[in-house]
Amino acid sequence: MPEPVTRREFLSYSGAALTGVTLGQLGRQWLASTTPAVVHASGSEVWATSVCRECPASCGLRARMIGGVPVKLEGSPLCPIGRGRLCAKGQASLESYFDPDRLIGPARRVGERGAGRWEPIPWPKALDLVTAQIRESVSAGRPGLVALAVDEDGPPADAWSDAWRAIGARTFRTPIDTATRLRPRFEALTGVNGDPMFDLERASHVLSFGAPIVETWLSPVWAQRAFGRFRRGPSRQRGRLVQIDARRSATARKADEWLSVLPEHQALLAYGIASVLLREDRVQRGLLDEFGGNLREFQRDVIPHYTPDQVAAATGIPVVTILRLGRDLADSPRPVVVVAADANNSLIDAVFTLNALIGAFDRPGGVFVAPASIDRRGVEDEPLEALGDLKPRVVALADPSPFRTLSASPDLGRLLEGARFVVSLSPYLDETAAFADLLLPTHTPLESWHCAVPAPAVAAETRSIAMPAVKPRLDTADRLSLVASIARRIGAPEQATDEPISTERIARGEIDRLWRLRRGGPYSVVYETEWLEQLERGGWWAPAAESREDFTNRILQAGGWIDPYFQAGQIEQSLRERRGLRFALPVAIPAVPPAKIEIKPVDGAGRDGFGKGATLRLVTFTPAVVSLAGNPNQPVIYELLGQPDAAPWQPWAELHPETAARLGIESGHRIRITSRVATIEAMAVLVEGMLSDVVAVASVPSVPGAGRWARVIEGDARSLVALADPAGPCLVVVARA
Amino acid sequence: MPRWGLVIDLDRCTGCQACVVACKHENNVPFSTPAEATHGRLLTWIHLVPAETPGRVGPSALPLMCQHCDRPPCTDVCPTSATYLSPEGIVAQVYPRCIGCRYCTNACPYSVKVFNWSSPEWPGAMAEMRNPDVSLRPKGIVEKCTFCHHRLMLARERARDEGRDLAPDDYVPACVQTCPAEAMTFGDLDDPHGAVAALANNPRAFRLMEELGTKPKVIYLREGE
Repeated sequence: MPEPVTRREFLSYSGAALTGVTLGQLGRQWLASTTPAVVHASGSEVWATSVCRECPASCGLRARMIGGVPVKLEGSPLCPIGRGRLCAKGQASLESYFDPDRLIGPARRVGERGAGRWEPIPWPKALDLVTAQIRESVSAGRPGLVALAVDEDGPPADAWSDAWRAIGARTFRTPIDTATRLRPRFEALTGVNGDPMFDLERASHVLSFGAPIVETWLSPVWAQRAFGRFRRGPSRQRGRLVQIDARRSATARKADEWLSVLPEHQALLAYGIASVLLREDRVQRGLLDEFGGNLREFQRDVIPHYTPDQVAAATGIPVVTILRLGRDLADSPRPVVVVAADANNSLIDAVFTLNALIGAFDRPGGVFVAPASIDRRGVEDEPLEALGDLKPRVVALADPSPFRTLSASPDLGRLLEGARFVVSLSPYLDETAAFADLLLPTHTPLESWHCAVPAPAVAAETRSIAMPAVKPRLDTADRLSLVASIARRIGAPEQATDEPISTERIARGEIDRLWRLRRGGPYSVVYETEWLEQLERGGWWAPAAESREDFTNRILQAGGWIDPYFQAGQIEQSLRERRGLRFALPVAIPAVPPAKIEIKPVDGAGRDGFGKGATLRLVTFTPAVVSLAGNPNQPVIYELLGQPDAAPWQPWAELHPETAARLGIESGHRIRITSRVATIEAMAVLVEGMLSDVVAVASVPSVPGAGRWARVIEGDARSLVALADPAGPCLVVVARA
Repeated sequence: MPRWGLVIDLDRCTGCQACVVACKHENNVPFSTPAEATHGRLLTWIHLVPAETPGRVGPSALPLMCQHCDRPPCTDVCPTSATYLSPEGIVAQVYPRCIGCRYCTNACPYSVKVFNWSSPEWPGAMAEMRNPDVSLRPKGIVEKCTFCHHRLMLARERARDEGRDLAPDDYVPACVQTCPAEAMTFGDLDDPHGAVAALANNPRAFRLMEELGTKPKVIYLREGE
């Protein structure tokens, strides 16, 4: 529950309450009058455990506290995901805690929606407001609607959805970009109802279809560690990486070979490689002979449509290259084919088909089933895109991450225009605050309890669990406690009788459940984790604690729980039960855009009219350092943008040097990119090897009403794509600004 | 006496910039503004530069920081001895002695010594996140990577308190500690049994601008086969 408002807080509020102030001013006034919320022994160094929430990986953190104030974030050496390592975003999240423009407490909109004028109100009044709106909405037969935080997976996320649904709301979310998104197509082929897990570290050859391996793939810190070992691990040969990517991403830059292929063409290329493997009989026969399933139909009905000649004609990739890709894959001792989590279904089908043909299932350096993914509970939320047609009466937003992960930038104003009341539970000045009628700021991650199911990546069942590293420095609340308070006021039957829900209660309940499982133990160093695994393999379990209380303390000190027991062979077992693989059967090359379009000057220009711009195909991408879940107001992140090719503090657009020359554009020029729905400007960067008819534009959330650093960014590339039709190529006019 | 050195394996390095953030937070390197960045006055002690490697897809992202040369050109030109080579091989910078003449920034062939064009600022509560172990640098002086020298002093104190010698793992700079791809290895170049000495003799090892004879103690391992 929210803490009571102190006299100092009241005075700070009351000075601003008469006319309403902008959020930025409110934040600065507040912070100017406060002191650190918590002080331990003065000047002493303490390490506190927490969990990073910048992405679904949920890496364990250690916060270095001096005199009770966090001054540095490091990865936890006990956490099996990062093993003491931490990415740029994770470290930068310290700046969210100290953000001078953070929301200081509950506030109510005054004036027009989106105008950014607010007046602070006490918590009880804020809860009364939202309760009244939801009551009215329920009685009108139009339920309140909730957008769920994208970075959530685990018991608190389930509790959030349950609590809202208990009061008649419908819950929405954008699927998180983890291996779980690959699960349905993996299941269609193998019958395994589990998340696929790629053994990158032990692979000898990786063929990647757009997988951002060294950027944001599945579980980024795990992926980077695995990539480092794949490249130069002890006692092994250097791994080889081939990247199929529309632009020269950071992963493409690291690759031994990069092929610039549009996302719409990548499934064709994958099936073309499959046809090479089958025609030249380069497939691994072991698994296929026993569990081939409909391989014969696949070979008979599909392969004739994807000959190298046909694929080359459709994609522009030379036949000789397609042949070589297939042969390199087959000749490597432990090859694996990987794919981006947000790839389209046909590409995912094609990638798992290739893995089946090269015998990558259930083998080192191949594909396994992530432990415990089979009994993971799925959140029954609806896709966020469905929200636009509902015209909800009340909308509650946990944070802006569901919107940031959409491939097109939604016009939040339009999406929410039918809502009578919008409430944001984000701790920060972000996209949700800009359109909210009521702000109920929640704790930042360092101030929060955590109980997360990390994105499946390591060969172990894990939970990242931690208590707050610091006390809240501002007048914020626990997210689940807030929802429980609202539910209690409404009188939801489940909430009225139970002990109040809070993240702490959920986390402690999960620890109790883990204690009763009688397996696994607290996060521990590599040696101890491996020892535990050996014990469990022998049928033993050595409890890490003598009592449940002791177990709870050890889990909270270590920052999580791990059961390292891992049983390979689940794919084979499933294939045995269902009698073989079930390949997808795309019997004709789908209608795809041409391999290349003619670059034409814009209408009205003469023969030499490229000065006014030309039409190109748009590819958007999110830079790895941009957080899709957290606070946009982290200055260090903006300094990292575009390195080492572009200038910091601004989005950039990549062009082929020849195309740029025709348009009179040089590296560093400002260029204007216009689609049928929006125009943005960006800095030009020239990239050898990319498609000449493509412009690739970095997507950095543009949040005009945000904090002082975030509001500097102008023009989100996703705004160029209409939300209604984000799939397929979008044509834009590119010209020098 | 150890001779501290750093090996960066460019085949492992992914250019993720975790090292950049770790360095900024650890060493109280202030944030820039867009205007400062436009004028090339971004303050970083470590940053990425594009580096061409024959046979690669495109230029690699090479993390560049003070190379801690054994024959540093910067120390020779410093009129106040503000920058000097420590007995352990760290090119140190004594900020109170620095008069901001920028002779050293001109002499450094790697352009890794940065001039402080403005007073360091951490708005509002952000001042609290500064590391008390690292002194703040005023406007008008030159600063650079110190191999997180303050960590060496703290590690020494800790070892002395515990009545033991400094162990190899006691002291690592912040960038090395956080590197997600495990591309950075730090230690004593003179320890024949240490990982750093072994990697420094790897056939892929090279130093930047070796021909100048500056003898850097930051050693890179070439990317590729």
